[in-house]
Order: sequence, then C-alpha cells, then structure tokens
Amino acid sequence: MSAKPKQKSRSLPSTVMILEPDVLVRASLAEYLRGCGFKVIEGQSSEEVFRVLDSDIKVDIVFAEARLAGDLTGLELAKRVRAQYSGIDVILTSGIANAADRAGDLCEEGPLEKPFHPQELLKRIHILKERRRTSLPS
Amino acid sequence: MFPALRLVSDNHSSGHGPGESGRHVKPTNGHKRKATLLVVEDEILIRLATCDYLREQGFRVLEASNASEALSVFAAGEPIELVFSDVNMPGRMSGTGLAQWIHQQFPDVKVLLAAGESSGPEHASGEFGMVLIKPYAHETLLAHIKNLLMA
Repeated sequence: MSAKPKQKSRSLPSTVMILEPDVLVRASLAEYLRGCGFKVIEGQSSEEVFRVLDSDIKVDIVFAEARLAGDLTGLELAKRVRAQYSGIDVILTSGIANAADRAGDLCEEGPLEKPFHPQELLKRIHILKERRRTSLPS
Repeated sequence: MFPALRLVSDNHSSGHGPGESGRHVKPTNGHKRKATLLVVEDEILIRLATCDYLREQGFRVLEASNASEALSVFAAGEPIELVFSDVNMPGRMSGTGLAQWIHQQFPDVKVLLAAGESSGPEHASGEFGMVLIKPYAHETLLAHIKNLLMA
C-alpha cells in the first residue's frame, strides 16, 4: 500500500460491509476502501449482510446500493439495520457514480489517504464492466 | 455449455491486467508483485474469513460468491494467478465446472478446490487441480497456495 498514514485524533469506524450485487463494482469499491485503511466485507445480497451482522463480526458501516433486486430494497434494509442493530451507520448509494462518490467521502474520513480520486474509481469500474461486456457472451 | 471468453486471453497471459490504478498490477518479471488470487465461495462467513487471512498474508484477493461471478472477474481481465474455489456452489456451474473452464480458457492459472468431506485425507488430486478437504487449517491452505504459485 502506497498511501501514507494520517494522524487522526478521534476514533474511526474501521469495518465497512459493502452490499452490491455486481461483483466488479463490489470488488472495485472494496479495494478502494481497503486502500484508505478500512477493513471491508463484501456482500452480494441483503441476506449476506444479516448473516454477517448476526455473527460476532463487528461492523461499523453498511454501504449498500439502494436499488436492490432481491426481496428487500435498500431502504428497507437500512430501516431493518437501524431497528435491529445499534451503532451501525447505513450509507445508501444509487448507481455506480454515486457509489464512487460516497466511497470517496468515506475515504476522506478513513485512516489512510485516499488511494486515488473517486473519478478514477468510476473510470476503472466502467472499464472492467466494458471488458466483461465484450468478452463474456451473455 | 459454458461461455468461452473472447478477447481477454492475450491480455491475461501477458500478465497485465486492467492496470488503470497503476497500483496492483505490474509486469510479471519481478518477485515483489502481489499475486492476485480469486476466492470463490458462496458462504459469506467462510469467504470473508478465508479472504481476510489471505490478505493478511500479503496477497491481493478478489472475491466471488459463485462461478458466474468468477467468470465476470476473469472477463474483466483481472490478472488472476490462482483460483481457490469451493466445489459445491449454487448456480449452473459448480466449482469443478469452473475449474474445467479455467483449465480450458486460462491453462496457466492454478486452481485449488475445497470439498466438503469431514474425514479422509486433507487433500487429493482432482482432474483439474488439487482438492483440499474441509475442514482445513488456514496454514494448510496457505502452504498449498504457495506450492502452486511456485510450481
């Protein structure tokens, strides 16, 4: 990791659980957030989020795409997390560009410097998705 | 049948991946480069424990929750050197099917499988790669990964 440690006085959220159905978006967001010092858990469904929250793993922030295809919308997920688990922040995102921006915001508060600009993250996600589109027949 | 990849094979075999970040991906001729592993496991608690452990050991670890996601990661051109996959997964492709697909599409990529079998030997040779028998110690997994990457 090339980022330099920053001094922060207050205690910082350390574990982020990402909920994002697309594996390429999820992996890119996760690497970005790891790059600024968070421990990141990657989940692809709301069921996975609750599997983790019900385990003994401590999660500080759930970072979720609001437009989920499963039985729970992002908003319902957020409500349920807030009602059933205390001390967990929920960040809802809407689409990839918004998710990249919000990840950038989160990185600003992270223990380490941002690995690169959120715009670069967005660009990277688009490139990965385009490669998949052109190389994997659906 | 399983989808064939167009395009990305050459990109992959040269050892260059997306490279846009310039951070993880470097040419292959040095030993300092972080090897990229892909872990395929549908049970999230196992996946995250395995991936966390392997990251602590210094690998770049990509995660997929099923074979279809694994194909996406390959299609995106990620410079994967080794895949560690559960054999039993939901979806239309099992870990064995994935191993077969990788063997055909990316013969240079090493494959290690994990199979649920509570007794018996801790590893066996499968048709498309080594099979670790569950439960296995993280240290055993690490030793097998290092061996495969060196082979």
